[in-house]
Amino acid sequence: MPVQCSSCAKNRAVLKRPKTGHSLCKECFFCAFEEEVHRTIVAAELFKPGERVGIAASGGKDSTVLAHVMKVLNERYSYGLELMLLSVDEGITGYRDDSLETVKRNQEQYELPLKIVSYEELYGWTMDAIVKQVGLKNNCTFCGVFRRQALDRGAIMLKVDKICTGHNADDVAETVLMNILRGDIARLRRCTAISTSSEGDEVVPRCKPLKYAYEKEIVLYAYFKKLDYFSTECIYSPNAYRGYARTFLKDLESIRPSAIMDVIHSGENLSVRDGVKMPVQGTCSRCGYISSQALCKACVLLEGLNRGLPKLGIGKHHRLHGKLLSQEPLTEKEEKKLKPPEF
Amino acid sequence: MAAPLSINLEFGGGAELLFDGVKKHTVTLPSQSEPWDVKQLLVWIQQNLLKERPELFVQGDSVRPGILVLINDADWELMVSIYAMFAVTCIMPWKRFLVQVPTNHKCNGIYCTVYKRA
Repeated sequence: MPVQCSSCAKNRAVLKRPKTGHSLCKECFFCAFEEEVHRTIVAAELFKPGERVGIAASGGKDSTVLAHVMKVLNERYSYGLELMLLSVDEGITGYRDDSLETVKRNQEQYELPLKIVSYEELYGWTMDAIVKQVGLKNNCTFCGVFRRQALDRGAIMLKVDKICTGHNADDVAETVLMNILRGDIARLRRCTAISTSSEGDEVVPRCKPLKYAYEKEIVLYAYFKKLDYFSTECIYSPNAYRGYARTFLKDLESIRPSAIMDVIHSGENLSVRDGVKMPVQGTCSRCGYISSQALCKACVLLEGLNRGLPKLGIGKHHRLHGKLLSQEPLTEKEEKKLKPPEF
Repeated sequence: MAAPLSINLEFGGGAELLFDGVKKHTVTLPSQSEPWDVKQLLVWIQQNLLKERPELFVQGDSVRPGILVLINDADWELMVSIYAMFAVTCIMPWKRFLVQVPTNHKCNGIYCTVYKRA
C-alpha cells in the first residue's frame, strides 16, 4: 500500500514533511529541501558574491548536511562564494577525535579546505583537562563559551567574511523556550535572528541557513543521500536543561508537527516593551571580545581554571571582576566558594 | 496462524549504542495467531534486543517522540498510525524499518532500520 508522491504523482513517497504534511518521493524531497534553504538564503540576503564563508563543521548531521547543501547551492545558483570548513577541537578523547575524522573525510568528499582550531592551542586547556578539574556538572558551560570564541578566532585566522552554522529549526525553537524559561530577555530577543549583526572587529558575522529546516528532514536528507556523518553523544554530561526543552518540544511535535515553526514564529514576533533593562554590549577589557561585563565569560572561566577556582565563571560573580583585572588577591571567604567540588 | 517472520533490523545514527553498538540484527519473530505489527515489534525489540536506557527508545506503546521510523525505506508517518501498520504488514512484509532516536543531548539523530530478509 505505498503512498504516491503528492508532487510528481509518479514515484513512491518516502516521507511525510512535518512542515507541510506533503508526502514526497526522494527526488522531490531533495528538491524541496534544497529549494527551501536557497529561498531562506536569498530572502535574508545572507551572502554576497565573492565572500569567503566558513562552514562550522562538527562532523554531525546538521553541519554535514549544511556543507553539502551549501556546496550544491553555491554551484547551482552561482552564489560566487568561496566555501571552507572550520572545526573546533575541544580535546575530548573518544568523541571529538573521532568526529574530526568525519570532518576530514567531508573535506575530501566536498573538496573544501579545512581549518581546525583547538582549545589546547587557544586556551591551553583541553576539555578532558577541564573536566578533570571541574567535574561533570558545569563542564558544558566551559565548552559552549569556549567554542563560540574559538569559532571566531578560527574565522579570523581563515580570513572569512562570515560563518554559517548548522542550527536547525528544532534548535532555534528549543533556544526560544529555554530563554523564556530562564527569563533571559536579551537572548530571547536575538536568538531567532537568522544572522548576527556585525558589530566589533573581533566578531565575525554568523548565520543559520538551516534555521527553518526540521531536524527530521535533515536526518532523512542525510540518510537518503547517504552522507557520511558522525552520530555519537558527547561523552561528558549532556546539557540537561536543553534536554528537557528538547523532550518537551518533541512531545509537542508528535501531536502537532507545526509546533516547532510556531515557537520560532512566536520568538520572531515578540517585542520587548520600552523600559526593560538590557545589558549593554561592551568589550572585554582583557581580550577585546564582545562582553556585557568588564571581563568576558571566556576570560573569567579561564582565569578560574588557571587559579584553581573553576567556579569563578559559574553563576554571577561580577563583583569580583575589578579584583581580577587589578590582580588583587581574593579573600579566603571568596576563594572558598569558588573551589572545585571535592571528589 | 502467521508463520515465523524473519527480518533484518538496522539501528544507526547512534541508536546502535542502545543495542550493544551492533547496527545490523537478523531476527526471527515467533509465529503467533495474528500477523505481526510494528507495535508488537517494538515490544519484542524492547524485550529481546534493547540493552540499555529504554527511555531513549520507547515512550508508552510507541517510539519516543522524535524517533524516525522507516519501513521499506519510507517514513512510517506516511502510514497514519502505528495501528494502521497492522493492515500494511499483512499485505506487504517489511523490507526496511528505520528508527531515528533523539538522544538526551541536543544532538545526533539516532535511527534504526528493519528489513525483511531476501
